[in-house]
Amino acid sequence: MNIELELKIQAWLDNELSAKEAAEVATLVATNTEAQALAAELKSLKISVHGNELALTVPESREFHWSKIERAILQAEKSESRAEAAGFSPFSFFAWARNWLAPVAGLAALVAVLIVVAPSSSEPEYSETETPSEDVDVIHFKDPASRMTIIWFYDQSGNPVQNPGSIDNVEKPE
Amino acid sequence: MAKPLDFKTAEDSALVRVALRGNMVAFEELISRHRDKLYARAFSMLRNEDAALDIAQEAWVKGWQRLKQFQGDAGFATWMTRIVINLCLDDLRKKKRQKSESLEELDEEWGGAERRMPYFTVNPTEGLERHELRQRIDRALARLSEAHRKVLVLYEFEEMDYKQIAKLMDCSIGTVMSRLFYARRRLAALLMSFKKERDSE
Repeated sequence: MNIELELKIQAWLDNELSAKEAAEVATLVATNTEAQALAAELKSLKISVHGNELALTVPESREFHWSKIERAILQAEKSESRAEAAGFSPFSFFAWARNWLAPVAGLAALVAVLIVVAPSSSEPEYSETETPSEDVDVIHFKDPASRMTIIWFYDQSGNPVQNPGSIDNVEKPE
Repeated sequence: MAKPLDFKTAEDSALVRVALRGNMVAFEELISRHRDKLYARAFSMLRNEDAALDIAQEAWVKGWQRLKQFQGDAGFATWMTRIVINLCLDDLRKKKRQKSESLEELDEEWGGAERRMPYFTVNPTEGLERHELRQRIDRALARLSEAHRKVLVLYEFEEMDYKQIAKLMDCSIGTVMSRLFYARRRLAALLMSFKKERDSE
């Protein structure tokens, strides 16, 4: 008999099979002598072992046993409170971090998101910016909807500058 | 005025409630009731008296520290036994890490001599007195490999199912099934050899 069948017979005796599988194994055990022999061996072993653990007693008196446990409990409590008083307790650190660091980190993340998002969201659909300068004045017009930016350069007298230099930074509509 | 609780006759759940308020006398009463069971479980898994005493003591300390976590779904003794079992499994894992892989470990999964053993038609424990039966089973358990013993103790004595054992031992249900099968076959062979020994005397 192969190991899969052997394990199935064991699982059947341990009530670990579904109703369908259990019926299949029951049929096998009823008709196959080898399966029958294994089932009989496992069953008698289960009956012998179940609940027949040797009763053991602690090889120490009740008082001595308790005194050791009590000492260990008090020692653990003492070292924990000492660590807490010194502020080095890993548990108190984690509790502090959970209570304070997490909300602060969350707030910081929220502020960061607002800083990044706010200018674009608060930006009006059409914006015009005037940049004062001693020699040249600039007016900047931006239409995000049509992805268009127009920049006027003009001198103090109000005349447009003929050669404003590089226009690399000017957005070009596609 | 409420009557003071008689610790000797109080139920475990009542003693737990009192112990939760920091009363160590109530906790000591709980220990005196269940200390043998916890020690026996540790011993059955570790097969070493000193190690079993240490683990049982550690379990009681942990039990005191985690008493607030005791929900009362299962009995107090069952809850404490789970702490002992977890400590035993941790201890065995630590020791196993220090050992190298061996042929014995392969046999635990795939069967050694048990694979070729014929099925026994005679019950090796038939006619034994209860005390003698328990002693023989204990003697046979002591000769099983650690992996086989663990799974057998958890299934037969702690009455856990395959799924619970697999979760506790961090292995597959298939591994639990094969280990349990070979553990039983080895145990049957050991009990049979003890019977033959006795019959020939």
